Amino acid sequence: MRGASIRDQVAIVGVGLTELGMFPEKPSLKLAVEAFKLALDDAGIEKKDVDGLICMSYGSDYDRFLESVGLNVRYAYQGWSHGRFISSTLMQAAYAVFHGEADMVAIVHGKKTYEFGDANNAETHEGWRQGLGPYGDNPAYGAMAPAYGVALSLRRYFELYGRTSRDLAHVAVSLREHARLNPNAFRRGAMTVDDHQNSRWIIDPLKLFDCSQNQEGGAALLITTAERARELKQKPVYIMASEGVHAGPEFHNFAHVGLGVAQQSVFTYQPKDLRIYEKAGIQRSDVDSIAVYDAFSPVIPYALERFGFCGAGEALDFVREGNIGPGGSLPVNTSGGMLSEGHVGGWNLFIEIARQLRGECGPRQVKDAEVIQWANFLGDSIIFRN
Amino acid sequence: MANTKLYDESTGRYLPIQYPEEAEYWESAKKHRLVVPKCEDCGHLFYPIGPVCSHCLSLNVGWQQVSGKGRISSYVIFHKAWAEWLKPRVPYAVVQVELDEGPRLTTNLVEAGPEEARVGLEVEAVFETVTDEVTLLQFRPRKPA
Repeated sequence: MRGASIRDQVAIVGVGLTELGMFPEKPSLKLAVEAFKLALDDAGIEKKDVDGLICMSYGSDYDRFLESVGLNVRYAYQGWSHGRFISSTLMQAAYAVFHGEADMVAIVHGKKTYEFGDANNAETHEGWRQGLGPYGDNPAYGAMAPAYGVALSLRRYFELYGRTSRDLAHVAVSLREHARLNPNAFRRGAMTVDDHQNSRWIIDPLKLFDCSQNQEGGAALLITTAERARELKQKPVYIMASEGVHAGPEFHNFAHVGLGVAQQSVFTYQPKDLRIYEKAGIQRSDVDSIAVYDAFSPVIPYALERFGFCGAGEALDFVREGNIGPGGSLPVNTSGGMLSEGHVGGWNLFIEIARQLRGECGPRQVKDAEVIQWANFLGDSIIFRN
Repeated sequence: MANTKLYDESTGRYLPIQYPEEAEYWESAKKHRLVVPKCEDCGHLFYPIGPVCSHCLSLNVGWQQVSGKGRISSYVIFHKAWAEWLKPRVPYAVVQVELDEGPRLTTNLVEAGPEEARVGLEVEAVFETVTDEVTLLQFRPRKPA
C-alpha cells in the first residue's frame, strides 16, 4: 500500500534572489552566500535552523559552501544544474523534509557565466558522450550547444504546423512585457516583434532574442514541512503534486513529443501521459499561471501543448493573442523568465512562483493567484498553491 | 578511444571520439561505405550506435550496409561560431537525414550552400576525409536521375 501523500505537506518558506548582472568581483560562492542570507532574512530564520543543503553541479560544491558559512547539516545533496533536472532537485528537498531526513533544506545556486558558459559542450565532453550528446549534438559536424537541439526541433515544428519565426517572436515579446514590470529584471527595454525579427540568427531558425540571458546572480530557496511553515514569517507556498522528467527515445532534449527529432516518432501529441492534475486534485483550468524553464523561446509553446493548455500546433496562436503576457488568461514566467529577467539556473523561476503566491509582485501580480504550475515540455511539473 | 587531439584546425573540424562499438562504422567510412548497427538476433536496425539492440537487448550486434539515400527531415544553419577557429566555417548547415532504411543521422550538407537546405530534400551519402583516422559521412543533394 502506498504511504501518506506528500500533497500540501511541504512548503517553500523563504526565497533569496540577488541583483542580476555581470559581477567580475563575485565568484559563484559569493553569489550563493548572498542569496542564502537573503532567503534566511526572508524566512525570518537563522543559519542554525537549516539542517539540509542542496547545491548544483555548476557553482560551489555543497562542502565548500558549508565551510564558508560555518554550517553542519545532516542532509546534503548535489543536483544537476541542467534545467530539465531542477524540478526533480527541488523535489529532493521536498522528499527530504517529508521523510524527516532534514527539517529545513536550503537550495542555493550561484551562477557565473564562465561556469554555465556558452555551453560549448564539445570542450566540456558533454557533446561527446557515447551515442551523441544530450541535444543530439555531434561536434564533428559543428552540431553543438543546447541551442542546436532546440533549433532542430523548431524547424520540425514550423514545418509540421506552418508557423514562422515571426509567429514565435510573440513569445519573447510577451516575456519582455512581464520583465518591464520587474525592477530586478536584467533586460527591461521595450521589445517589438520587429526587434525580434531584426535580431541576428544564432542557429537559424533560432534568433538571438529566442535565447535566454547569460548574466550572473545567486538564488536560494528554503523548504520545510507544512507544520513548521505555519510558524514562520511568510505565507507558506505549498507543493500539491509533482511529475518527473519523461525520457527515452520518444523524448528529446529541447523537442516536444511527436516532432520527429532524432529517432522520435512523428505524431500529433495528445496530453494523455501526465498524472499531475489528478495527483494535485485540480483541473487544468484551476491553474492561474505557469512557469517554464525558458532557456529558449520555443519551449514555451511546447510546454503549453504538452500540458494541454493548447492543442497540437496551436500554441503560437494562443501566444499571439496575448494570453501569456501581463493580464493574459495564462501568464507565463511573470518575472520575465530566463528570456528577460535573467538566467540563474532557472531557480529564479521558482522564486517568482513563491512571490506570486505570496501576493508580493506589485504591478506584475497575477490577480488572485492561488495555483501556479511549473510545466516543462519533458513533462516535469510541480503544482504549487498558497 | 582513438583520438587524443580535440580538433583539427587545418580542416576546421572537431575530431570525434571513437568508442569501441563504433570501430566498424569508422573503418567502413574510410572505405566510403555507410553501415548502421543491426541486431543479429531480431534483425532490428538501430541508431545511434551502441552496445546493445534497443529492441531485444541482444548483445549480438552486427552491421548492415545501407543505401546512403534519404531525405532531409530537419536542418539548422549555424551563424554563431561556438569556437574561435570555427569562425571561417559559418554559416554552415547541419542536417538531420532520414535514411530510406529508417534511422535518422546528423551530418552537414555538402556540395550545396546552406540556403539550399530544406525539409524533404533528397540527399545521398558522400565522404569527407578529415585526417588519416577520421573520414566523416556527409550528405549532398541527390542529382536528378
